[in-house]
Amino acid sequence: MQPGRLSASPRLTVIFILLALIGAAAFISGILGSDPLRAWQAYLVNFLFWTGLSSGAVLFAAVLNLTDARWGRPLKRVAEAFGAYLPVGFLLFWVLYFGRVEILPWIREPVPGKEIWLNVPSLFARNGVGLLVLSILSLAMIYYSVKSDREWIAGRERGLADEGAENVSCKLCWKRQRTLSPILVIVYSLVLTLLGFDFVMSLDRNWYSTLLGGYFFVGSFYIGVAALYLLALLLGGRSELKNHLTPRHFHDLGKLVLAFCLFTGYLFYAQFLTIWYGNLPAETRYVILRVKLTPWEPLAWVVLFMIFLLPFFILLSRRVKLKKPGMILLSLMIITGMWLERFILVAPSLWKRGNVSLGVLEVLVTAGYLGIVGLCVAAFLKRVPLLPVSDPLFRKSIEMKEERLRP
Amino acid sequence: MPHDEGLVGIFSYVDDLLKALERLKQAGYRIENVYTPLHLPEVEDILGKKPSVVRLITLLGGICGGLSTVGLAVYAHLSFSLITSGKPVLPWVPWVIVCFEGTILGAVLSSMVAWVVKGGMPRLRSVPGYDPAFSQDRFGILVACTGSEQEQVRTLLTEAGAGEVRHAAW
Amino acid sequence: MAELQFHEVDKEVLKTLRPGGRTYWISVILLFLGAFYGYFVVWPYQILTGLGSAGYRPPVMWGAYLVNFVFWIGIGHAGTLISAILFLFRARFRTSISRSAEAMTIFAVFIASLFPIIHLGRPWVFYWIIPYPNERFLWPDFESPLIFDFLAVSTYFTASLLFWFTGLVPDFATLRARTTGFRKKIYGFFSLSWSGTDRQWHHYGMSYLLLAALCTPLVISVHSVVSWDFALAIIPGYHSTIFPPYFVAGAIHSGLAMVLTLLVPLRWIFHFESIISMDTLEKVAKTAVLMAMAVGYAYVVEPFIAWYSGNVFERQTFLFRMVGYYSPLFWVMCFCNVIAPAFFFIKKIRTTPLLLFVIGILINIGMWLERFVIICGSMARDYLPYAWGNYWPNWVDWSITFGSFCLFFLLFLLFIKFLPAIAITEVKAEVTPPVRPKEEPYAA
Repeated sequence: MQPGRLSASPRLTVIFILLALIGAAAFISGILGSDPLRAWQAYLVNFLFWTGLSSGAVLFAAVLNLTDARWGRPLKRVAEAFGAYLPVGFLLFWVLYFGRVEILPWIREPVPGKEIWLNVPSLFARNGVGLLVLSILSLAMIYYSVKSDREWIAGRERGLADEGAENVSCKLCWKRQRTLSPILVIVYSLVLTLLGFDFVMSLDRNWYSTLLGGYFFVGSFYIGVAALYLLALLLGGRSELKNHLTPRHFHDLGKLVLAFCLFTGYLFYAQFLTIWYGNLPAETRYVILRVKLTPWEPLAWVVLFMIFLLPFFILLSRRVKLKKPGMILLSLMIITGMWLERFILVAPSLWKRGNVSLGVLEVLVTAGYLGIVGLCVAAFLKRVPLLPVSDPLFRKSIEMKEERLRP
Repeated sequence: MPHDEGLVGIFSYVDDLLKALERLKQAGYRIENVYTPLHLPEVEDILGKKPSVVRLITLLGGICGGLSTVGLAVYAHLSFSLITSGKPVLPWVPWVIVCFEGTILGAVLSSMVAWVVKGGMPRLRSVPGYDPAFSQDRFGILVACTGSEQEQVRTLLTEAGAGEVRHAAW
Repeated sequence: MAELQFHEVDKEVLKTLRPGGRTYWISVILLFLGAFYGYFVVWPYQILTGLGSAGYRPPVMWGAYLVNFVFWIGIGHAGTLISAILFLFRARFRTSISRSAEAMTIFAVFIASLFPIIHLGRPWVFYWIIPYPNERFLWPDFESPLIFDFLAVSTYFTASLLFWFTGLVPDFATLRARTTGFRKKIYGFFSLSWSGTDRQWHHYGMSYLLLAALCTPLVISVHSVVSWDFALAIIPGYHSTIFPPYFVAGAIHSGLAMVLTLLVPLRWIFHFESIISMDTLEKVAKTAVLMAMAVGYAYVVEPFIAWYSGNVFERQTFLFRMVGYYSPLFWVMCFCNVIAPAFFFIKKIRTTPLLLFVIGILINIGMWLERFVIICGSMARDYLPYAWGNYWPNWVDWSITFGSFCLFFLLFLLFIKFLPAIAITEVKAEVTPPVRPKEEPYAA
């Protein structure tokens, strides 16, 4: 079993760099132009989306460790790859500081009574610290995971026997990963809740919803799992992974995507029903703007179809889950739909001009972010073993595959 | 299949059972029943079964349940067309729940009925060739065979490891 | 569990069905007397004298009975989690505890479904909630969360019962094979003449998977619907979007704690250490920690948003919870639900059966108090200060609560004596399958 690395073509790297440069150019020209709000809005939506995507994907690896799950082991490294973007995301967060007046309406018009929470220093400090802690914890977990594999491979090359070859260092790395995983889960939920409260909920001065934090981080996990699914589908044909990513793995991943599609839909409905039923103006203002008023209503329905209705009915069928091109399209649709969902959470609070601010600028800025994330992920996967070879549960899952009841 | 006869092989080990099944299938005998105290997917693989129709019945039952429960709610609300707390007479938002619960109830009931009926249960007379040991720790194969074939089948079963081979008629 | 041999499974598991000793029958009689007192002595008294004899007066019209209702439905959720959800996740540790957990669910849901009737002023007209054509010119309002409750809980009870029964059918066949006389006839009847043929297993296996897949969203929806009984009202402290996942997490939390409370003694009394392994109990404890974190998250977010909203009513409700009349309950609840289970992070604690049992009981106390603090506390201090008033359960409330606990443990004791407390067939699928050993040659 060869612990291969990903040999990405240099062409892909060039494409990513180009995308990043185009995005940066579009963004800078946007903020220096006549309408900086639009560019900052696009930047904020992308920041929330891609941070959620990458931390959600890393959370998948942490949850695998927490639950002693065997089925998803081959995907562990692919999930951890998204963590390479997190430190970059932390740096990109600080760019928001320069656009704060545009994206945080309560700076121009402070909300009486909420000043001790909604003020610039404490907001950036708490979110900055939260993102920093999240990045450090994720990187630590990934570090131990990769270190363990590197040592294991080095040990194999030095000719140690296979049985009992788990040297002390690998065991320690595994123990550290298992200690870090539950902490990462807790920190993830708290940090993303904070992001949701500060960068989504506070944009509408009077609105509040206790579930918004939970909805935000579960939605981010949904995006992360869909992105992982897409990356696994795209990489699954490669020789390094082909022996280990069986159709059953893809089927299981498809079921996980379905589960979180349902979970996200459920959390959305929980907020929607409570707010609709109570009919309290402070709460309904947010929902009515997005779901009943022009210009946002059509977009809300599009989002509902893309992230919930279509994936739900498509993923129910067993046969469809095994068709690769269909699943690639589906995961792309989910990811795009969730981007639009983050957009519709944020934009109507900021953009009051009577039209939907979706256009070339948003596409370019998103492409820029895609380039940056792609660069991070590809750079990571080029340097590390693709399979978590020293992971004890991975080894067990290989051994289990070879057991057969038949004589 | 009235008035048939055959042989029942009783096995203590799973690998023997599977080996016997494969040999019987290759030799082309008609395997009536395979008795196991637990669910063995390998048996189904060897025998080559289509996916169960219980799936379809469950889906249909669910759809019927959901539609009928929402139908009941619609009928009830249209009877008096009362407006309560300013909500519309036929509010779809809360009726997502009503539809959901009805779907689950319909699906569960139809699934239960489906597996019981498809399994041929309950029945007054016991299944031919059944031995109470098959519900404890023995496995069995009932092969339909007449007169001359019975010797060959008996040999095949014994060679595969059957502890006992009995005659059964139904 | 690897030490248990395939052919020993029946004998090992069915140890519990041997005739009970004196301790067993004395416990059964005492529990029966307790349940009888609660349901057949005190409840008729309450019906005759009215709900006022139970401490109910405005503004708190939902008291201990609703708390019990939510509490018992919550207990039932762990059973479905363990048997249905963990089945879908292919978690192997569920096998030895799924049967008892499902039984726990059915008994808990049954007990819970009595409470909405108990807390009615005119319980004899409870059937008005059933939607059928009638001469009263009345249909229930299908927009009301109480009707969703009725639909959801009855669906949940039906589905759990059918799922449990489906799992029991092959076990009934085993019991039919191993008993004689009258018992054989009864077990035979319930086994539906199951023979274990390939055709039967084929359809059965598909149905079991579908039932598990159906019960999973059902269990989440049921406690969400129960939470919407409160969240859809606009009383501060009730009207909160986080209620559905918060209540579901709390339900699973209390249910897992009850699993620990029931199974640790069961394992000890019947020497089931080889079947219900310490690893299984450890995993239950770890899941309890996860739920404790979820509940703790809600404990932090709710007061924060109450403050953040700037709404004076929300702020006073949460202040009242922390320093008002019911505040001791609130702080005990925080300790029992979040801090006590956090000790399960320490491996030594989560592998000690006695500590598992004790912390399980603490969690149950905490979860009961949580429902009380939310339900009664919010009603005691809503919008109008003139209408504020305190409520405390009196002897009628406590008697019926006590009766419900007695009934639950009574049903569980009867269950383990007459039905297999561990899913025999699933354990057989978990132990090493019997393959022919090398030393035993084939017969000629």
